[in-house]
Amino acid sequence: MGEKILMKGAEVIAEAAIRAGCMAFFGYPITPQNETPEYFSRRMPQLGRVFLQAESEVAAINMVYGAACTGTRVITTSSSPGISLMQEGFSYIANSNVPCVVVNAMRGGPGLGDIAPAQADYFQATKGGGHGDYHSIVIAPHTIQEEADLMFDAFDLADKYRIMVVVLVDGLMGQMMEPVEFKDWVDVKKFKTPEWATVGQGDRDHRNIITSLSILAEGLEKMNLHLQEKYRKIKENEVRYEEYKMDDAEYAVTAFGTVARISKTTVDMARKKGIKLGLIRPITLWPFPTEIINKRAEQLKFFLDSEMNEGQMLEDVKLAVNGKKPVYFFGKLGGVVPTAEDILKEVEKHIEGGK
Amino acid sequence: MTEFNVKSLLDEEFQIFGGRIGSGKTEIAINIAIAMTKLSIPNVLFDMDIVKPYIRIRDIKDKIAKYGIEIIAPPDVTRRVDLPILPSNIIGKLMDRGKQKIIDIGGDPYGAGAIAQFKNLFHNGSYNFFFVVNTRRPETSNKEEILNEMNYVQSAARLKITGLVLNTHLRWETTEETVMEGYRILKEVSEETKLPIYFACVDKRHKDIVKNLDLPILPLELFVNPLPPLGG
Repeated sequence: MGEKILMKGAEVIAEAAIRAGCMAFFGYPITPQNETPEYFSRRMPQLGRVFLQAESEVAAINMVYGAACTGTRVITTSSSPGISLMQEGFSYIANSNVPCVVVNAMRGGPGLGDIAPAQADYFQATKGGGHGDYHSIVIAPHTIQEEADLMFDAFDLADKYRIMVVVLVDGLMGQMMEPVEFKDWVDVKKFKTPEWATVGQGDRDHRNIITSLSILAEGLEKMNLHLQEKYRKIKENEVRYEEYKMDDAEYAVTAFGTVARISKTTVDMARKKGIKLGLIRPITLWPFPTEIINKRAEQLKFFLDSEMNEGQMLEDVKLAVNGKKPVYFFGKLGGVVPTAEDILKEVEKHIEGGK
Repeated sequence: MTEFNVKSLLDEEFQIFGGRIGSGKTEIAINIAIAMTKLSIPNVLFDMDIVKPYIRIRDIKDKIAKYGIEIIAPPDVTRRVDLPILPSNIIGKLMDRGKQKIIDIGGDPYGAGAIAQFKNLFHNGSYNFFFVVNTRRPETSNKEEILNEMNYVQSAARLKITGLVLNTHLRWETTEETVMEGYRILKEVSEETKLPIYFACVDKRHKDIVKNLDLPILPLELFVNPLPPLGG
């Protein structure tokens, strides 16, 4: 760990990726995350690594796919409309079992939307987005420090499972500045080219082939079963969440990213008023922390799910609670950010309603 | 500790704040405007930030409305679109000789470039062009880096920097040592460039942090951060 510095989230994503051994960036600019490619464009050439502004997001994700096939740590960053353009590539990457990291700094949608922060790409990130039966690991930091730490984990998870890892943030997480301390640099000299990488036959007796294509249905079924087995292992081993003041909680907010951050203030405000409120914050949105939410349902009177969308993670929370307790929702749309007071008012409304 | 007196700026009619992105220009410009308004010094605050998508003066106009500051900013309708727009009435307002003109330009050379087109309005001796430095931000952590950034910014702005402002901090983790270390670095810049350090800034709730600093202090009321700090 080094000295504390004050950084914007968008800068932190780039700096942390670089320290984690990211060797190549391919992307296309879009607000509100342009500070990230801008930062990469300054730093990558200094280190002899690759920064390339592609002609479009479609080109960028296919460059990522290509680099990923060589086992190189590679990243692209974009924001909602740009991420939509990349979906075909994501699906190819999934069925090719190659590792990469994608950062989505979500903005208001649908369509061109606006440049304000939003969380409306939850479905797209966690339920696929592209075609076919696939998942990506999706992680959602809620502070700039956590962003710095999770970028390292994103690359490690991508390599471990040969999978795409989505770091899901929003414009606000990119523009905010907070003190951060980075983990130590990963020594890229120690990286070994993986056995499966397509970097030339060399001394091997066979050529590696990476593809998402199978002409025979049975062959494709086998590829799918392999993917499903991988997803099962990830669900078993990689679920992450944080509980905040949940031990004696009677009510819980569920939220991720920026709204989780705001909800911590809500919890503190509620506690000052004697309301036993807690927060369950999924850190991995896929795999989703179903078990803990289901377990906590026993002790709680209700859940309030809060998001900057029309209720997307809400569906996963409801599935986890499985009807045991009411799950209410409070959301803001189009780039409007809820305040801690807004969320508290909503909690109090439901407490009042339950009396 | 001596508080910085904005009256010391009145020989010049333009107060321009430039620097690295995230160095604190916006917060400082707002506080200078508030200080002048409190002393009944007529002033106008210009939002000339064409770089950042949020966290600009136009985004927190409501929060500072109570101070009655005249703000010149791009129209509200452009707040959530990605267009680098300057206010339509800007030239007339910049030519208003009867008022102090406090100008917040965007960060880095990209932001500083916005002011270059008005170069002819600024004559030597009519303006202060402050370079704001937070030595805990990337690219301004030592003398060499700061000198580089200053060169980029003044080339893009086509104006000479006339003074330095110390704004080293780590938000809620700022200590006396954080600020003193920043001061040591900025003093080296000051000695090399012969530019004075006009003042140092501090969150007004934690003024004690700078009690031993031999610079005038501008205690800042903070407006632009969209979320409350962690840990209260």
